[in-house]
Amino acid sequence: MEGSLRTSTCRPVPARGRVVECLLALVVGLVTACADLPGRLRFHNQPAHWRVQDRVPIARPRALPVERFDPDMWFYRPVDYVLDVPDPHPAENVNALGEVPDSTWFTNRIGVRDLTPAEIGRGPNRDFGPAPPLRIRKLAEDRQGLRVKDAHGSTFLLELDPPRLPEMTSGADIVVQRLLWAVGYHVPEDSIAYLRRDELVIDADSMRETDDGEVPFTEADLDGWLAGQPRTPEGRVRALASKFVPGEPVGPYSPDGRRRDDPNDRVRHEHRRDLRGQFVFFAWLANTDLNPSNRLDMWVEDPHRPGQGHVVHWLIDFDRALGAISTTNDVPWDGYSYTIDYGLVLASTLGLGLWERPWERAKDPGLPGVGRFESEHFSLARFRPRHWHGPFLYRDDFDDFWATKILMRLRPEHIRAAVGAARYTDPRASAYLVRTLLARQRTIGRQVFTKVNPLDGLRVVTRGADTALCADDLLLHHGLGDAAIETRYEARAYDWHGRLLPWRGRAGPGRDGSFCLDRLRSGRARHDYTIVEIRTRRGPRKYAPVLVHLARDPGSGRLRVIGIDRRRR
Amino acid sequence: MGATLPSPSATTDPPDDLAHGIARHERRRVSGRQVLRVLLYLPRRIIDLAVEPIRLGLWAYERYELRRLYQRVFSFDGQRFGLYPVVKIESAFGASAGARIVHHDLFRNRGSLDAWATYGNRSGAQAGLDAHSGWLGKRRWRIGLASFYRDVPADRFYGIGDGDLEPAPARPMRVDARARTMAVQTRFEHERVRVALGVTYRIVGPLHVELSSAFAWRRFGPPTRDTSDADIDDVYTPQGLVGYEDGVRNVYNQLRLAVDTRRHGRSPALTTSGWFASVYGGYTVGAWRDRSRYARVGIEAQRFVQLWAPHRILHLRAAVDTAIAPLDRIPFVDLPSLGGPYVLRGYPRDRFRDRIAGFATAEYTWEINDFIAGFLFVEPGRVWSGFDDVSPARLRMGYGGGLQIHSYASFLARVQFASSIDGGFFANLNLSPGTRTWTRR
Repeated sequence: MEGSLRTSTCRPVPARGRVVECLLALVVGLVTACADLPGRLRFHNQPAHWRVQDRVPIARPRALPVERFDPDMWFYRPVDYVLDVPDPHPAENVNALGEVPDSTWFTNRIGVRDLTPAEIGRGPNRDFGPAPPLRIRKLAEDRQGLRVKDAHGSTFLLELDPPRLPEMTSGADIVVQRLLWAVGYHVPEDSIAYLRRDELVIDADSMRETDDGEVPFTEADLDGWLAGQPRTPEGRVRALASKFVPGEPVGPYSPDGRRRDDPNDRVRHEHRRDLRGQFVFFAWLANTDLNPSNRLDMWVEDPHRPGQGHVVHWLIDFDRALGAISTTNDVPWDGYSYTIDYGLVLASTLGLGLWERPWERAKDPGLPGVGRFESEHFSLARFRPRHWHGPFLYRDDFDDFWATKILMRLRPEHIRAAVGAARYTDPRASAYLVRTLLARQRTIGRQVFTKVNPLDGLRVVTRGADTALCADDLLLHHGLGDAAIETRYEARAYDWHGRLLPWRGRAGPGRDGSFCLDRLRSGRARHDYTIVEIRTRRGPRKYAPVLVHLARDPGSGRLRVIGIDRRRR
Repeated sequence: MGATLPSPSATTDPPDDLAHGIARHERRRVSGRQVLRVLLYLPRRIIDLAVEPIRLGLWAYERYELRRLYQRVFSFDGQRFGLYPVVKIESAFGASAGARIVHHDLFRNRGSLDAWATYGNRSGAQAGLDAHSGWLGKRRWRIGLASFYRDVPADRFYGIGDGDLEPAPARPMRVDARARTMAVQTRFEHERVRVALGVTYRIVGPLHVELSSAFAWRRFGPPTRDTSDADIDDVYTPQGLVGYEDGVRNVYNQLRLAVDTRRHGRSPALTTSGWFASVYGGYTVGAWRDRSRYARVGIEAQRFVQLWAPHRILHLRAAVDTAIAPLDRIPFVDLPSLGGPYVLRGYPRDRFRDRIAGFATAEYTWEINDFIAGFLFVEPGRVWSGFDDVSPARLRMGYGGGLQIHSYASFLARVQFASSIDGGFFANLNLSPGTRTWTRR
């Protein structure tokens, strides 16, 4: 049972009559112990929470060092996880409907409203990238990232594509940044910039990092940075411009535990649904690089309360996604294997090489600007980021379901808009990426919606005197099911006390995958509290039930959905 | 359009009993997992303790950028020049350790220098210097130097010929190894120096010819370290071991024609395709009263074939090495030999010596991950006393396997286990980062 989004019978109800309620619930529980239905869970009769107050002003937390990577990510964490024998731990930061409320980690966007393709094409960006002239501030020691300040005083990090692979890393970053923004994550304003050399200005403060500290940045350094880059007919060089996010950096957020100096950070990160759900989005986008340097906490000072502010959690740096790292670093296993994958090492060793590893049939599309990114051999279950990641170890089917629901709301025109923002010069590259992203999206949808009972959009519909409970079967709604297989929905209802009500609902899916269970009979106690147990049968397959909790809104007197309890079996 | 979803409500004050409006996870009753967790508590703590040094090492490696520190201290000239540790463990010869200095771009012409020194209680002192100039003169010429010094306190000798191993005699015998094939495991001290100079000329494409001249100096004696094996002169008469009493000082000149089309994968230590074939002939003459005088002729062919998938490689190799002269003109240690960690694996080092040695290898290598490869091999071979004896009858057969660890830049280590149809078990570890391959082929 997905047990985190609600409380037991004894907790949320008013204190009066609590003992009697508990005893009653115990008796009911004993009677129905075999089936554990509908169980002791009851929800508050109130709307689900869609926003979390985690912006309570705090002093600036300590800035944590940005390690290049945490060795435990690829060596020790899986060992510790296995030996710990952790219980299945449902996500904690969810509301009564199993959704993730808005917070400093996540903002519901396409999950709750329709975005236009133009919105996705623009993403979080508020302007059109850096405005020249660009005053050079610092070149990183690896000679890749060039920090500049533009004419408006905004700071950007400029990064170039590998000279022999033009558009590959910059394009990947833009596509992924736009799509992760659309699904709800906080990402920086990234854009493609075409720069002329004379737009880059070296002044007395321009520096270059070296092993021995900073040295003045010279014309030769600029020539070296631009060397080998293809130029447009106007002599411009393509660069990825990433605008610095607002606030002061306080280090990366840990994939496990909480940030102790941030009282707003209340839920252990490995139990956050928005972080667990990244598995689905990252698999879709082949965003495998989970280095701490790709997560950033920024402390934003409250303009009205100097010295006080809150932390916002960002995802940054996506230029290795969409198979780009697989091509630039020649690692065909990227996306299919951890850097050190104990299971694969064991299987490969014992298999004596006779076993064909998952990535060995995957082909490089061979298109300019596109990495080793394909859909034919893609499978969500097979996806592996480069490192072990706490939230991914603890994730469950309901986390995947939450993310997949959001993912499936992206339509082809949305994806085309995101890919269009990357400004690939070869239209074949854009077309291939759109096609591949759509195919991977459908693969994920099919795989996730066949693992859990894919009912969503649960709502009470009143037609005259008749009350119906309606829902959407997402597998059918998105056209992912097999039309030849018959689907049926069967329901029964319980009252507040868990007593079976004299009502049975049966329905089949409509053309759009929705169905309604008519003439619903509600309970009589506690605002007509009613629990509807819906079972889905698809051909020979029976899904675990979804229990929908309903109660009458004290204000309007209308029956409404106040909670959803998705069962594992 | 996607499924209908509720629209977000405005901020609602969270109820007191919930954290920001979200119920916290509640503990469950005792489960099988908890029982397992208790049972695994102690093993977990033990594993924690065991891996802690590795974790600490990895943490320090990243935190303090030890790789960069190492490169700054031990790697010079833009990382073309480095100092690396060397560790070798070989059955019957124990462990040896030392260091090697490698320069990958000598004279800025892709020349190389590889100087090493190791010491082991049982394997003795070893040192060597290999260098080559890189391609010169329109990339056609290359000059090379190969030299080493070794002093093995208890090297092994099993007689001459293909005899089955016999137990050491209870009393000293004086068998003439040239006249009677009797294989007894004996030990002797073996000190040697070899310096070779060579010039390679690239004829066309991968075809090249190499002219080389080598001077060898060797000294022998009873083993200077106690072992359970018999001393060489308790079994074999020194008069029957050419060069044993007076040592060896000879010069060997050789001409070799070779074709090399080998290619490697992501790591230079993993050859993935191509051919290597060579034919050579040379002549040895003794110096300073040394009686060495024999011709040496040999042929070798290697083929690397990618099988059904990338990084599944079949390595086929066949070689014949002959020394042409009466046995009393060939120092006993110069006789072509088989056995050891490189040729006819599964037998002790230099288990078989005679005027003709031939062997073949079929080695299957598969990539386990980017840095580890597994290998399995089978190696038939034997020695013969002359061309009249050569026949495929009574072939010896070694087999085994192991793991090789490498980086994208070089070979790192190789662990090999081998046995043979005649029994025995041989383990071999070669840790030698900074080199290109596990052995010179």
